[in-house]
Amino acid sequence: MSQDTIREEQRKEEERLFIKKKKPIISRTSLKDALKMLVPYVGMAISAIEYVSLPQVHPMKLQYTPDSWLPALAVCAVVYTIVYLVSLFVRPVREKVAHFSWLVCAFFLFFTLQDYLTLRTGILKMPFVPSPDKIVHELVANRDVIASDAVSSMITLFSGLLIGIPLGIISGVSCGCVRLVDYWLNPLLKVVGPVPALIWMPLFFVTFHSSRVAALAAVVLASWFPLTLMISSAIKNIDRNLIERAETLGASKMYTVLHVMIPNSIPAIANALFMALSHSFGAMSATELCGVNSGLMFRINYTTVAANYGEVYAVIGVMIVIFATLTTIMFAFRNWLLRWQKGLARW
Amino acid sequence: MVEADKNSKRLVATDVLRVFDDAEKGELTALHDFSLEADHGEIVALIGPSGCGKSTFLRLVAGLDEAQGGTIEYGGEPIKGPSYDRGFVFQETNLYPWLTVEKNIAFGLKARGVYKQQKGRVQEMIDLMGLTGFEKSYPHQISGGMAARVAIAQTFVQDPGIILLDEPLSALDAFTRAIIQDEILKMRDRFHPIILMVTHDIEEAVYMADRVIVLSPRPGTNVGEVKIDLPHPRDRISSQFIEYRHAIMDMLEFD
Repeated sequence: MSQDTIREEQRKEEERLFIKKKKPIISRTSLKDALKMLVPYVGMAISAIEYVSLPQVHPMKLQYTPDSWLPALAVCAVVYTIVYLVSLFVRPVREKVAHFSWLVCAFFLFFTLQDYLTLRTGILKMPFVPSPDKIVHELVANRDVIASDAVSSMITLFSGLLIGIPLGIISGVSCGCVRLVDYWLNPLLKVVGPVPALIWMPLFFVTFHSSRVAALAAVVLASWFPLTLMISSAIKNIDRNLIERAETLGASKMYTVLHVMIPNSIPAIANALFMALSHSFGAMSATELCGVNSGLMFRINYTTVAANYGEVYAVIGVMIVIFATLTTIMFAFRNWLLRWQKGLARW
Repeated sequence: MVEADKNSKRLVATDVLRVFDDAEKGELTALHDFSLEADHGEIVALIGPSGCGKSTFLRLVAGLDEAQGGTIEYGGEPIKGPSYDRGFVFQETNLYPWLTVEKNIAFGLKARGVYKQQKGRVQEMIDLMGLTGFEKSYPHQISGGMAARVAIAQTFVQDPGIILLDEPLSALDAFTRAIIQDEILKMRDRFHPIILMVTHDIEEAVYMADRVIVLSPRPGTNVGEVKIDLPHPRDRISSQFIEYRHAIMDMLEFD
């Protein structure tokens, strides 16, 4: 064998080992998966049967007629049927749906249990622990107020992140690259950063004369800190070899910053974005508890005082959905950014 | 400009001194009165015990480090700072993990703003180094041998006057190493740079180099030089080959 044929053989072997074959997006489902994806219907059915068949033994006179759970289940069933039909053909969707089918089933069983423990037996005391029916009822009845509060919260959150994230990336990069900036900014970062953004609220209130602007400032601070800290330390700890390699390949200082230092800190930026997001959720909620008179956390506080626990849980549910969705979007973005990285921990 | 008079430029290092100031061990002389001359198209191997300053000398030529004494001149000009004209292939082949194979190779051309004019070279390099089919792979998807090839291509694509090889093949298996050695020889015939290579492997030195320079243990200085007068491709088990190995081995016995 000549060396060229040996090399060709080796190349083919490498190709076989290292290049993954892409699977098609549209493909037929197997019977096993099709059956597995039916499991959530079982959960919904059990929930519906329990709801209809068991008598209501709640001790207190109810101020409403339980009427919301069956329509809610119907909506879930319609939505899931659409998902089911799509996933019969679309492979990526099917993989997700089949994977989570037991969990979705358990989700409905959880609410069945809650219904049993509250409305059917009174083991958990209403109104402190409302039945799922009551939560859905309150969600629907107060949808306008809850929606406007959600919008108000999101405006604060997004305008805060829109300022805080670019600011954090800029100050993080310049802190990591420019010694002078690091000298002046680093001590500030160490003193101001670890403290919860909330403690500056009184200061912000006095300075900005507006609770909305103060809340915005808190969110900006909460997102700015982790970004600056993590990006600057990622840039400072870069492998010298990557920089020297760029230098010997003829890269200028500026080119090295833009094409080596910043891409190299992208994993840190992605993690910092996650931290920035969760810190801002906290900061935003906290400002709505002390001063800002709108928003989801404000609504929770307000309805707790008014003893409308059904609505409290409804708003909590809305918050969970919003924050989980934002975090999932963030992680999808992170996975896209880090598509070059091996063995990335997925959300 | 570099292209035009490239072949007339010589590398001349005279009485190079490099002392490291170590906080724990005090002053550490890595190189002492080390001299070397090299012409274009020549492969010069530096061989010597660990810590004898071989890699330090490469870093000085690359402009990544500065000598305290002596001179290093390339084409009559003293070396100041790094330049693409003195390419360095590092021992750790950590490529830029966020760039594909193709973009890693094109890095230097893009950094210097000549990518558009010299785009064809990237593809030529991919073909020469047997990287066809891996252009769009990320470094974590390829093997160590492939990564070493990319690192070598990354430097050669710029057509530098000097190429410094700091044991880039030391982590590879013997089989892959032998193939890449031939590939480097092919690249030498194509581009005619001065190649300085540091190695621990006497066989590798005799197989590839035109001259082998033997260094003493720390502080590193010239002990001797062996001119390898064998035609390429060299036969690793011929009696002359083995004689050269013995000659170098004898020089390396310092006790």
